[in-house]
Amino acid sequence: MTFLTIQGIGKRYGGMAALDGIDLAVPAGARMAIVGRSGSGKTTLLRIVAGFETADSGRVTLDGQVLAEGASAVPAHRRGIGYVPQDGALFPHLSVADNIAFGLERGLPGRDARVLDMMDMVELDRRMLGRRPHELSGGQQQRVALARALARQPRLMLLDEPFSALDTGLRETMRKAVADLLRAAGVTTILVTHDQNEALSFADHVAVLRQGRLAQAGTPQELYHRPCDRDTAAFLGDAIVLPAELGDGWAACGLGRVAADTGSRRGRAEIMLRPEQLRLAPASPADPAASPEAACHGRVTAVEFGGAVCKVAVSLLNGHAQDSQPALTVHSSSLDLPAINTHVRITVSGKAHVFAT
Amino acid sequence: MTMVFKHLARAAAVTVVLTGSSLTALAQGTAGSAADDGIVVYNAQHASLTQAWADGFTRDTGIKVTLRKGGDMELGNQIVQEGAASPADVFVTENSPAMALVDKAGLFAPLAADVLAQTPENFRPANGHWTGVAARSTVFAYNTAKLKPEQLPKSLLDLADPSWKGRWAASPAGADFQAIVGALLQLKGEAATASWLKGVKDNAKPYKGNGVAMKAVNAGEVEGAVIYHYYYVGDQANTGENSKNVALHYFRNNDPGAFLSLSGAGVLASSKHKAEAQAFVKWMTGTKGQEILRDGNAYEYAIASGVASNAKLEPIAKLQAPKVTPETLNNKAVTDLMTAAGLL
Amino acid sequence: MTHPTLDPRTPAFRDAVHPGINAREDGARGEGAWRSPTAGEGWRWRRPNGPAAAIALAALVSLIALLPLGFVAWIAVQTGWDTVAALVFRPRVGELLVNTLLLELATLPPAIILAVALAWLTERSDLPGARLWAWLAVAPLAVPAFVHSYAWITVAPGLHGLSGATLVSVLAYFPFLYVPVAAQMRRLDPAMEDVAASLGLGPWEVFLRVVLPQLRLPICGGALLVGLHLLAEYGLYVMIQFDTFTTAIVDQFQSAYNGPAANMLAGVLVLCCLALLGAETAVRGNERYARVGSGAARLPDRRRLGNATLPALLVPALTAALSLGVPLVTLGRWLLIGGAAVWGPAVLGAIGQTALLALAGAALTTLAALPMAWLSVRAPGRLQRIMEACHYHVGALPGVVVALALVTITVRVALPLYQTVATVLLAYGLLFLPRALVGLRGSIAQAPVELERAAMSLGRTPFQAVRQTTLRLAAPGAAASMAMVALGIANELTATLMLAPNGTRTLATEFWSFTAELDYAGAAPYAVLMVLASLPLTFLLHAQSKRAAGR
Repeated sequence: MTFLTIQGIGKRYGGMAALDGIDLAVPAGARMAIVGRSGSGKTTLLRIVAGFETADSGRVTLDGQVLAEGASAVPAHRRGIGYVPQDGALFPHLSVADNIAFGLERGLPGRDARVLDMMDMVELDRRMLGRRPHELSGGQQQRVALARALARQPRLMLLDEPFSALDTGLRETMRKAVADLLRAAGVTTILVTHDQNEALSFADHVAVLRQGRLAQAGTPQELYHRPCDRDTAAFLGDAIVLPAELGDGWAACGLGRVAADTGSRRGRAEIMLRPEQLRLAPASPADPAASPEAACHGRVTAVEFGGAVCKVAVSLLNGHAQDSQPALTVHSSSLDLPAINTHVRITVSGKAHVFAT
Repeated sequence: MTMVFKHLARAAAVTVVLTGSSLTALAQGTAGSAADDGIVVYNAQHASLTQAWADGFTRDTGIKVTLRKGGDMELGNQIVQEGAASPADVFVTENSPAMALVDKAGLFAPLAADVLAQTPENFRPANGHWTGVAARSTVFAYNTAKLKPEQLPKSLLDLADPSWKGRWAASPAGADFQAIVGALLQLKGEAATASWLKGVKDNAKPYKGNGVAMKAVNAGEVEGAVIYHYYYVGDQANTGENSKNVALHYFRNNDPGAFLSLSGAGVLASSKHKAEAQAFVKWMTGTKGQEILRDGNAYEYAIASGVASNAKLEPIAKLQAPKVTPETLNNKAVTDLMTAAGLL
Repeated sequence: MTHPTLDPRTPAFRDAVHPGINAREDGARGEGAWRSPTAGEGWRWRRPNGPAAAIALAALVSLIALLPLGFVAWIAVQTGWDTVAALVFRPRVGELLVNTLLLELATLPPAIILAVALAWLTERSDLPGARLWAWLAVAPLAVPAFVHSYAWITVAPGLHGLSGATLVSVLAYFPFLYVPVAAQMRRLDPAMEDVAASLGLGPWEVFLRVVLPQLRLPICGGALLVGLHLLAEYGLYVMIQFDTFTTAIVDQFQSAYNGPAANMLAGVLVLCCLALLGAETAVRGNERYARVGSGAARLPDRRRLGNATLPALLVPALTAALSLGVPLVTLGRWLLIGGAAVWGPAVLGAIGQTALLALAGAALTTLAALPMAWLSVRAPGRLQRIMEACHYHVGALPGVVVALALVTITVRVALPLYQTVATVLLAYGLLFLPRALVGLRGSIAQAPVELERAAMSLGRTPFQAVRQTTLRLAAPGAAASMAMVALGIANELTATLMLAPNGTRTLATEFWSFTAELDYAGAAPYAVLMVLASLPLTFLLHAQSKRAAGR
């Protein structure tokens, strides 16, 4: 069931189109991540949903209620949508307790209890209630900001890069904590981020925005493994894109013949593989001649040690290689890292993805 | 970080040199020149009048004159505080009390006989320590639309009557008004003065300066004001903008309100340029100095060297001014009484 | 007129106008950013020269800054309790207290409302020509307060008393509130307002519950500054016929020189200033309303005024007409009436003397503030804070009090200094010390010691490192603060009148003596010159407040 519907949203700043005909549907209870590079229009879209900005065209509907249609819009304070901005934006003149209670009407029965519930929910020590925002760490501030937004039991929660100001380690902890918390609260959530890892791990739905247009939307798995084009593929992670000749369920490319979802397509196309689909095995220089069709050989040109996952650059040696084929980057475990200039055999697991067009 | 301080200090040294040179320039531009080749006049008179005297004097004698501006009592008290170290050579006031103050402190050098001879005896103190250089008459300037001649006060003392509450203006902080109070004190005694001042506090609207008080009369903010005559005459001779609705009422009859205040000039005993200082006083009370009073735009009475006053002025003889001894006008008592009355 | 133009002499103003500087220092105090371990080591082996000398010099300046306060205490003791009681507990003092209180109460609320309204319109709404209006809201500072009143009594001769004083005070001083409030509005994180809206608050509620509370600091700082000006100002209230302690002190001074009555009024006035400082401290509390979080702030949205645009335009337009139009039209009229005749050689002489006094005073003041500025940035500590308070408090004292103290001290115990340029420069130094300190401190803070170390690690000698980093970075700020002091001096009236050597003629004193004789045409050239000289200052202040806001 679609809870939030965004239809044909367009927004221009001066001559620049910030958003151009965005359509998006968010099911109830979903965690949707809108991801894109800076300037892609993702924050503008979020602000239009929140009611901080009005779109030039298009429609936003929440739970059957039209929030915005063209330039006419329900003001933000009447939308019942929670919002957590990048650095929390806690009110510096108020204590933690007053921040959390800010959106609750004065004299509301159970107001204090609700604040305490929220503190527990975001796992903050109740002793912090009297503190001022500047006495909290970044992570604590984000928790308070979340509690403040949740206290009003919003219909929809908008998170605008809430983790980007945090340290790397804390960021992952917070991401998981917030995701669990929102799942438990059952609040439909939209997260805006420029970090594809964050988007993929946080959300059950991901939408990729590029230059004001919706590039693709779907589950994280769909987007990662079946991106609509080269740019989306590269944006969501390292990608090996190769020209190929399609056959029935396979593609012939620099790596030889690999399994692919070709469907009814034949002929020339571009295919994509994720680096983790490639495996390296030791091989001798004589091998390629022995089995030219079945396997693909290469020479290690560079090794980048990266702890758990290391990157190995391999240039292809066999006849399938195109003249100007650049070295492939393959992810490899640090345990069996090949040395530079050794010969390796490359095998492909899983299917290659065929780009449309 | 110490290095920074050192180099900031070096920059500071450059600044010191800069400061020093501007100070030198300043000294040359101001006090230095006056002390070395001219006289310093502590001038409480209207700046333009004394400037005209000084310019004429310098033209005739080549002696430079440096003026220090201030109020009568401000400069008078200042000279007393400075004592023998005073940089002043000549003291010129608008009224007599400040002269009396300095004289009482024994700080005046007696004026030469030829200087004194230029001024009639009734316009200078008997001890000859200073002399009158000009005179001004107390008047009641009134708004002709608001007051008819028959409604005018008969005496200055009438203005303390509750019927005058809020209807008249004065400039109590000024030396002029305080001189008038000084005359009252001499003529009527302390009790009468204190009670009159209480009436002033209750009745009068205080303004800063006689000119401003007259403007208020002209604008109809008050019906009248106790000021000196020349504010009116001067404005009439100019554009009349601030006095077109104003006429002067002279109290006459030897009333304290008919007080004729003497502007004084004296040479300081501490002066290192006594000859030049005496010459300046002589020049002011001489024909040329008095002619500046007659022909200029000061409109104060000329009193010395037989020079007639400006024809626009009410003749001195018709003022029927009370007899006041200028050298015993006591401004300290006046300011104490006025402070006690809450006027200061 | 004591401090006619801008006067960032108080800590409050420093916080309000230079929040960046302050925030940085707060951080430094907490985390020891300026005192990294290496700095500590350097401190130990270099101790003999710099800090000791700096501390000694700063202590000396602190002691000199305590002179006026000490004087008031000393004179009270000397006068004896009975006389003090007779001079202090009398109806006239009561009247003046009531006048002062009424003036503060009548001026501050409308000035705050006007400043906040203008700041909101120019910073947070889509008002047409917002940049121009913003500058026009600062520009009235270029017109000395006594020129404001000169203009107003020309236009409305009947204007006087409390209502007149309030009107002119609001127009002359509201920019002291506008500048810090606008700067803070620019700094406010717009996300906070978004969040408040998402929490169900309408626009008006957002303003009252989120924006306004965060303006408390700049409002307090600006109000303190305005309040102190109301206490210290002389010329404005003389012309507008409103008695305050300052005018009463000058009256006493003119009637009886530095008599006990004048000194006791000065004592009460000092108490008023201290009360104001105390009130401000109490109201603002010791809270830090700094922005929490580190993300880059989005440029604030400008609210659409829509149909309200035209009425909204009336606010800045009317303000500009009253605070700038009236003085400029009046000055123009008097200049026309005066013609060429009023531009005598005396004008040139006054320009020269004013410039020399201003430059010498500014150099001296900057010099005097240097040790303290350096200490407070590079070697903060408890002693430093105490000495800093000594430096700042003197700026809150009216010029008339400082001048009265110096008159009495020089005439009684330091006669060779009496009526010398040195004494008047000392007065300027005391009055404008905080102004110089604020600027210098900021500019030295621009040059963190790490830069010197970086330069040395890149092969520069210590001398080259200092010259190429700290001096270069600090120089513009120091020059700017010198300019501020110089312009303050150029417009100073009360202390100059009371202390200047014989023959001194500054623009302000000449203007004053012409207006005293009601020769408004003759006064006009001096007023125009003061305005022209102060104009760059308003540009500077405007630019600085923008920079403080990080844009």
